[in-house]
Amino acid sequence: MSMKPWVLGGIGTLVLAGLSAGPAFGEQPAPPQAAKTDAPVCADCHDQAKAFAGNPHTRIPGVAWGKAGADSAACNSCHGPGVKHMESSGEDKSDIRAFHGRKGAEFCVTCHTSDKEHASFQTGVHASSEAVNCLSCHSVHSPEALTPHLLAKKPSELCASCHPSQMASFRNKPFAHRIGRGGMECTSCHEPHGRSIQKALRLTRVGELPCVNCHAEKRGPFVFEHVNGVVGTCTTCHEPHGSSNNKRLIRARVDRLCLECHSFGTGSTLTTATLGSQPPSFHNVSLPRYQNCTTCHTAVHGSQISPLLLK
Amino acid sequence: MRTTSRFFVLALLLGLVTGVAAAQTVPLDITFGYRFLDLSGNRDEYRTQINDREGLILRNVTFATSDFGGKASFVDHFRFDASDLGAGPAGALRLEAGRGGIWNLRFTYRRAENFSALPDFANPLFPTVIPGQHTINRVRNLFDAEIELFPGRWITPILGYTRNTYTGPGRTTYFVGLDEFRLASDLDDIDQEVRAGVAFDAGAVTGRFVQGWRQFRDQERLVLAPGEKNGNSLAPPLLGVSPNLSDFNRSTSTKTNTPSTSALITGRLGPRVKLIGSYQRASAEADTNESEGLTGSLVSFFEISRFFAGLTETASTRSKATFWRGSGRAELSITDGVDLSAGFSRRHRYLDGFALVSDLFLNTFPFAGTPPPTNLLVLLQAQNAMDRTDNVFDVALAARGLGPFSLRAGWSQTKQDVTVTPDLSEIVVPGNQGGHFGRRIETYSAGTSYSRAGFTFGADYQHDNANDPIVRTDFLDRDRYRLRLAWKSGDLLHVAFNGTQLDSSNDRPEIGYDGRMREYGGDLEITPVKPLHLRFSAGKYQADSTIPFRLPETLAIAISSHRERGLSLEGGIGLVFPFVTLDGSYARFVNKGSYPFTIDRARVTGDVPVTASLGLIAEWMRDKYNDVAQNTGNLGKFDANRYGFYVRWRQ
Repeated sequence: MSMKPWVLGGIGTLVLAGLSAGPAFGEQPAPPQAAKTDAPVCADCHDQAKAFAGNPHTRIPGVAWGKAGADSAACNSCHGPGVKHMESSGEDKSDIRAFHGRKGAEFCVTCHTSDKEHASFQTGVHASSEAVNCLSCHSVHSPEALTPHLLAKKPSELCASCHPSQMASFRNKPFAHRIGRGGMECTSCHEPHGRSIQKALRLTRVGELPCVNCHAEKRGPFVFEHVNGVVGTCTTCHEPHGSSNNKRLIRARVDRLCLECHSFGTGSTLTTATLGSQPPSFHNVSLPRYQNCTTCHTAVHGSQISPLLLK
Repeated sequence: MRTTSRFFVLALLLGLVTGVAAAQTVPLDITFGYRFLDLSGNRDEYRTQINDREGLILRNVTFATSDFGGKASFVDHFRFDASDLGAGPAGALRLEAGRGGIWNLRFTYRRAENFSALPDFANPLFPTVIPGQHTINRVRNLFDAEIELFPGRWITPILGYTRNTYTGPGRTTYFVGLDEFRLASDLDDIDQEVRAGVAFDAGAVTGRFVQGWRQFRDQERLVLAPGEKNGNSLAPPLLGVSPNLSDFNRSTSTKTNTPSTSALITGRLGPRVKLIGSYQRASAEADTNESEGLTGSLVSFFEISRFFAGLTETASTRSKATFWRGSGRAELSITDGVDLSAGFSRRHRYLDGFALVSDLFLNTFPFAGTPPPTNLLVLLQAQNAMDRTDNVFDVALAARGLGPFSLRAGWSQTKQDVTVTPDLSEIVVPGNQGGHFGRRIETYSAGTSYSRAGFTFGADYQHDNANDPIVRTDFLDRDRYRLRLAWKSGDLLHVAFNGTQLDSSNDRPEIGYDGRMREYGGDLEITPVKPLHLRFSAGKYQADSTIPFRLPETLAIAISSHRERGLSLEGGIGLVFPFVTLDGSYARFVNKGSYPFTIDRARVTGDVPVTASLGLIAEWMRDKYNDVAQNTGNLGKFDANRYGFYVRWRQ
């Protein structure tokens, strides 16, 4: 398990390197339209078509290969053949499909039908409407140069344009995830095409919270588990975006955070119907020692050895 | 292992870069340079929050092409992105390559330096001793690679590999002999998963099945930190003995194997009905072995009520957790732009834990007795279990095609059943540590949006109602309101207002939890003339929560109260001329309440094009943090100026 995948991966990669550097397997498939004719092409008039080379839409199987500027196949696949448009020297736009608003955006899903990636366009968190649709975030012709997926801007800027308070948490709170840096984006944890349930979180492949994608050591299972995995989640104690408090906690004082759950009820009897034990009386929280619960209870995320989460 | 992983990455990159070498034109965008750091104040606080270091840095690279001029038939698209590699603290690399319909490879690498050394966290000795008892200086490296063969075809085999390492030193605390001793830790965690599967597309039915094998390995070695023999020593000598440790060693090793299965299938019944089913299962089994040895002069009340001079501990534990989730969903398109969906999912997790811990206390003698000392063996055999089931049923209606309007409404019900069977060893104060707990949450939501002529309006409301709490901070009622207004007038003006309010409460007499969060703000962007862009924003953040609890030492009732009052103001200017692009901003955030602080941020960037491809960039970033109001003195302050000089090449 430890070495074999790497060895196999390395060998496979070297093979790939050799194959890709060597002679071609065969010729490229011919483009669907003749590449060089005297017939007009979109790029004759539209600079956007000239700049389309490299766009993922130029490699739709069976539609277009290679440089879009040399032919119009890639343009045609979305905008239609535009014969009248060309014959009228651009005056007649009746056979050109334009993309505006919800209707225009939903043309995208005639090809982008993946249930996993575009599940929400009908009923989800960003269900396609006049206010929010594919074209709100994606720009087929003018994507931001440094982002993948033809995004119109950097991912964090796009999200912030409608969700400024979440972005303010990242920027204004001293203890925050480093959004926009090192590959950490809103989309690292949220699926923008997801359903509205569970804040459209990008769960792991087996349905866990996205936190454990990075913080794998918190996943467990532990013999003595704490909140996560029993009740609640990581967000029971932590602010996932940004927090004013150390360790991105939801409370400024650690003892208060713990005692809000670990307490008897405040009724006339010392009982409660909730889960969470009362600390023994030697925990005198007027003393600094006991205001810092995690000084001793170091294994607050779960322990394999200590029933009291001491190690 | 580190060498092999580097070899893998290097070989992968070399292979694919060689593959695109035949490309006729390769769009390239690269920015690299050097960053200087001028820091005053608490370096640990700065590193915990920001951690930009001085040194060479690759700000960004994008290298993409799908134009191979017919010369390379093995690769027809290639894209390589990297950002912030070098003088960290977080960098990433992403690569996608393949040939349409034949193969597609996605590879990502992320690196994050995790540093935390806060003066007042986990620090009962503050401000005498700094930083806190717990510090880390670790690095996380994440690799993920997935290759699809024949993407978009009827059958698409999928192979994937993920590797996540987390390594480095840290400091933690050990509670023994009624004292806490600081330990130096060396952690080496590796989490990796190999997966294989297949996606299929049979027209009306599509799906994906993936089988994965995950292995997590944790190894940690702890020794007594230098100079920490006497522990915290907050308490006076106990029965005449001041606890001390002369030697400490602990070694822990955990191995967790988790086979996992995930399946998704989608079927279409005509043009209006879509059915989706999914199933996930993971069965984790963790084995831990620990050995610990210490010597010193210590006292134990709980375990043996004696003095002792050494301890030898061995532990062997096993925990098993089985998780599965199944769901079914139907989506009905009633008419164009009007959709109804309904789904049900069940999630179940069962945990079974067993621990056998053997403690041999050396040279013990009773509090009131006289030596000769004897050795005492204490055995802990713990067996516990936890069973949790969540059932979620939801219905949603979306009407998206009402001209400029859209409406949506939803209802969901979540039922949680939790049974916790703790081992007796976990129970110190009897009550509320185990048992059966049930909770049902009904959620109603509605939202609307309007968009026409540059004006956008959006409003959402959600109400959650629960019958019972499981833990004391669970709400019984929760209301969430969200409003957004925006108007855009061409490129000249963009103005927006956003507001959110979240109220949650539990009015049970023995709990009395009450929380409110309000956040509202506005943005204004003006472009009066093409080269000039101005932007302003202002926002307020308010949070209040209160819940009574019982003080452990007296059982008297006290109130846990958390309060935040944040005000942010930000202004920025952008100037674009043929010979230079300038962008500057200043922001200030003042937060009052339970954890008061002030943050001032300034950013200035100048970009001078030298040729069509070459540009020079200068950058100044200032972050000034001050939490002096928390009595942290100069420890709660830093002023960090970073000056970057970069070369940009675009082709």
